[in-house]
Amino acid sequence: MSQRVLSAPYAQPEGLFSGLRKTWVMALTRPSGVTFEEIAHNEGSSSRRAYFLLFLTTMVGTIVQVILSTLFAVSLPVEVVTGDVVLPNDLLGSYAFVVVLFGLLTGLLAVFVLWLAARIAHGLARLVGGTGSVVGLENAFAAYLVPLTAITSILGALPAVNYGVFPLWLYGIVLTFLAVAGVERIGLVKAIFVGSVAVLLFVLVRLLVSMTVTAAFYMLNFQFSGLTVELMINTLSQVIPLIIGVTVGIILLELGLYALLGRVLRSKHALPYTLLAPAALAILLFTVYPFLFNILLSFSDLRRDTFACYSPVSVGQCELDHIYGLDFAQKNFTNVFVQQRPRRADVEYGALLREPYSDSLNQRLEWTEADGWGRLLSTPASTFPVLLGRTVVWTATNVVFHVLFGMILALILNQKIRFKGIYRALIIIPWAIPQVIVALSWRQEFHAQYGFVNTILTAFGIAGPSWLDDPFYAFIAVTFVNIWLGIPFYMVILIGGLQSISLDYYEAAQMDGASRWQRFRFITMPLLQPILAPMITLDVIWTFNQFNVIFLITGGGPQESTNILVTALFNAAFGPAASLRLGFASAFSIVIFALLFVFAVFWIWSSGGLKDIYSK
Amino acid sequence: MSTATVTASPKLNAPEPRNMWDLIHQVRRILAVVALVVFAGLMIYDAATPTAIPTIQETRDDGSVIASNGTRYAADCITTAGEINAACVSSPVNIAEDGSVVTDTGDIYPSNCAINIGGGDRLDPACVPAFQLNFTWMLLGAFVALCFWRPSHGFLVFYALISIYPILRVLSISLRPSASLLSRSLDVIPDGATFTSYAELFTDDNFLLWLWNSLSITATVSIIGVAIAATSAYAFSRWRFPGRRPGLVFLLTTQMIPAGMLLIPLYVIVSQLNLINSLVGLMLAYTTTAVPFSIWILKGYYDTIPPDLEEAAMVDGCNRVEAFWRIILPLSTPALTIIFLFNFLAAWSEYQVANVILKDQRVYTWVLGFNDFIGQFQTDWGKYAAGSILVTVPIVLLFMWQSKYLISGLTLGSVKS
Repeated sequence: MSQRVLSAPYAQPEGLFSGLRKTWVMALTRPSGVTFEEIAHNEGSSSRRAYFLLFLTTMVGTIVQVILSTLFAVSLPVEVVTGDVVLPNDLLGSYAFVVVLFGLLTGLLAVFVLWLAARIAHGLARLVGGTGSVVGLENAFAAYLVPLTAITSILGALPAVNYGVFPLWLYGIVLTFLAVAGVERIGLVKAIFVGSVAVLLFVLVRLLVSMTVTAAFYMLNFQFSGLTVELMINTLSQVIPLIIGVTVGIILLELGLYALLGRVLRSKHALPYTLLAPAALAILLFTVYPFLFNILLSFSDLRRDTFACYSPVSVGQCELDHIYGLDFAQKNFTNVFVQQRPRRADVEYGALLREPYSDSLNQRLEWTEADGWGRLLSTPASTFPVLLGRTVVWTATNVVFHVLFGMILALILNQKIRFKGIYRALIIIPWAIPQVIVALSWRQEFHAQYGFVNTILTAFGIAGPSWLDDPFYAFIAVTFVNIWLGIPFYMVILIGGLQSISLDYYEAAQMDGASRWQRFRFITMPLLQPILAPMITLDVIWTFNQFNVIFLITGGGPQESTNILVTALFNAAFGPAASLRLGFASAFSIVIFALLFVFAVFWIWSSGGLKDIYSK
Repeated sequence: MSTATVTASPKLNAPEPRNMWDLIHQVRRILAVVALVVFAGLMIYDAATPTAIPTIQETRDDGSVIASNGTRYAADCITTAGEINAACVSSPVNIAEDGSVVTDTGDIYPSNCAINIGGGDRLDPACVPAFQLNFTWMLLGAFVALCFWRPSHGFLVFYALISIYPILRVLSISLRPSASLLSRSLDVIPDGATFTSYAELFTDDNFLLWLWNSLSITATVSIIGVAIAATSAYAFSRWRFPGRRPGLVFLLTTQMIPAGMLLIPLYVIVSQLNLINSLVGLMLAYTTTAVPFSIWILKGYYDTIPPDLEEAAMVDGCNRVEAFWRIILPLSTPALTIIFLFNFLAAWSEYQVANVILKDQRVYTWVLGFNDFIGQFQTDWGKYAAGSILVTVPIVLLFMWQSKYLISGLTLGSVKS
């Protein structure tokens, strides 16, 4: 009987749901051993159907229960809009996620318990002379568990009548004993003994389910230090699809490309190109495309007022007759270098000095006559040559001190010296610390009164300056911090380089009577060249582009006097004084990039800086 | 290569004069001992000398006086003996919530030590012991002695101090009680150290939320970044194909692009697609920034692994991809660790892009949150410092733990074997 059912459960498609109502009504209203025996031997019954229905009912029941208890208890703080900023993901979506997740869990739990209970009860029943089958027990249990779960889930969540679930579950316990007695064809006393294990399990699962419902309810309202389950799930619902999407995307891309290159085009370089494809695509999409788009933007008049013009969806009035054009480019690039004087005399020139980025002024004026170097920010000092000069001084000072101190430390630590490991570990700490923390902490330490810099200077009888309020000292301060920050990296690289130099060279030189300096000059330096040259190249680029230290310590101030080109760029584009003049800012950024590029090409060409890396 | 240069260079030096070096060593030791003695003397002298009290130069009409050091003292500062009260010479103090007196150098005295004099609360000089040894002198002396005795250790100790003291300061501020948050104390463990700032960080602010946001961004970026870089670097290392050299040079070129430059188009794209406050845009931007450098380091590392290894594996029946997976990747663990760390650190503390893209408090990373602590509207050094310690310590430990890998991974990439 059971074998036949198991082997062909879906032989009659309508059998899955046929006779269900009759079974349920019978199980609940006319409970007796005979009824359950009938149910167990019913033609349409199968254990898969029992499991499926129990799973479905429990899951839906839990979901309904969580939703109902939410509705009748505390309303969830689902506040999606904060001011004018709308969170990208619907928080209700994450609420649904929690609810469905818990529903699934309880459903699986119920199925597992049914499986376990039927087997245990059947095993015990056979010991006392039972003659039924596991499948029969499963069906008999499910016949009343399914409708009972459905009824109690709704009943339990309603405010006043929720105590009604207890008599119902007591009734369920009685039914369990009857079911065991009926299916296994044993006496009621024996059935109570056998069925109590199953009852225990069922009670346990009900407890677990209601605990889970409570847990889900509390988790949805959980909030600690700003972290809520909703927000966690909101993040996860962005992260997990991204990782899966990227992984699947990469695999598809690689398979497709390999098939195309290898099979269709029969290229002998199919494999390397395939391996390169993900990185190439990523760089293309997120570096090359923005780069080109940036060039396009420098041909635009993108400001806060004209943002609507450049949006694909028209959101407002656009007063520009064309959005990209050579005239805009000319204006943007000229503004980087040249201060333009308004031709119309009715605008007071002094207004420009006070409010150089005023959009209303920009619109009213015709800018034509050149009048000295253009201001990139609001003060007269933030002109291009001044910023460039400061950037060069900044970069040169930093790189020189990085190399100098990095070399001294590396040379000392490369000797036989005690506590080498401890020193090295302590000295590389600044490198390990997030730059933001370094910058913000130093900003505090340069405080004129409470920073330790001035405290120590005072202890030695020097009255420390008010570091961050004075243009000169502020620049000294940021330079010092960046030097401090960069030395460990050099030290680590140079120690590695020094260790790779064979001691034989030094021994030979020593035998020839070379002095310490000569050994350093003619052995160490040339052999370190292949490491030092690319490191300096990279360091120049990094220092030139160093944003965090300056921006977070001084913000470019005081009086915009510590800006280097990149911080000026950020201030011009997004800073408080600017009104999102992005067209101009992109022109400025292109000028900066061109400068760095020309310098780097010249440097690499003159020093052969990267030949060793790239020639292999 | 350079041995030839060395042998060709003129040989000048006579054998090193041993006796002179021995002499110098002796002198150094003597100087070290002298330094210790001198500083011990200074410490005792400093403790025995009472604080100098300035004399009165000129008395004003309102009873206040101008002292010999040019400072003006209020009328109640003049004692019956016609001198300036010693209490007035010290700086004003803070009174903590429990009434205890906190000096501007962070020392805490009982509540009965405060006297209101000279227009503010000041420390009663009677509370200060007359003879108090300041052991900072001895520390200074020990350092000077070390500089004489072992100059390289002296330099290393000095530099190590410069390296870690600013971090220890952050620790110190995080432990300060709120009354002495602003103090000129140099102690690492302040008087009356407390964990209040840490507790407030969790209860008053969205610290965990920020950490969670940062962590999810950073983990995603590191994983994707390492996966992309590992395969690409392998292609660059093992094959010679058209476009290889330009590709490598191009990777370097991308390093030159200032972050602010890509930020402008990124901001425009993100706001046009209504992706402001979306973490996904940020993650993709971060990943791509870190990839070129990762490829660069990894390629250098793969170059040091002999191709024979894969060939042997391929003879044994592996295909190329299996050989890469089973042989090269396990061998490159150090370099992969470095890449992971670099990606992790770069994204973990990124400020510029996040500042422009994340505007809602609820998607803030800790960097933005911390910046708000000391932003325009509030200055919360205690909480800032506590948060910094919590954020930094795991990273520093990770760094220390991996530093062996870190150094070998970085240098093997650039040093040819």
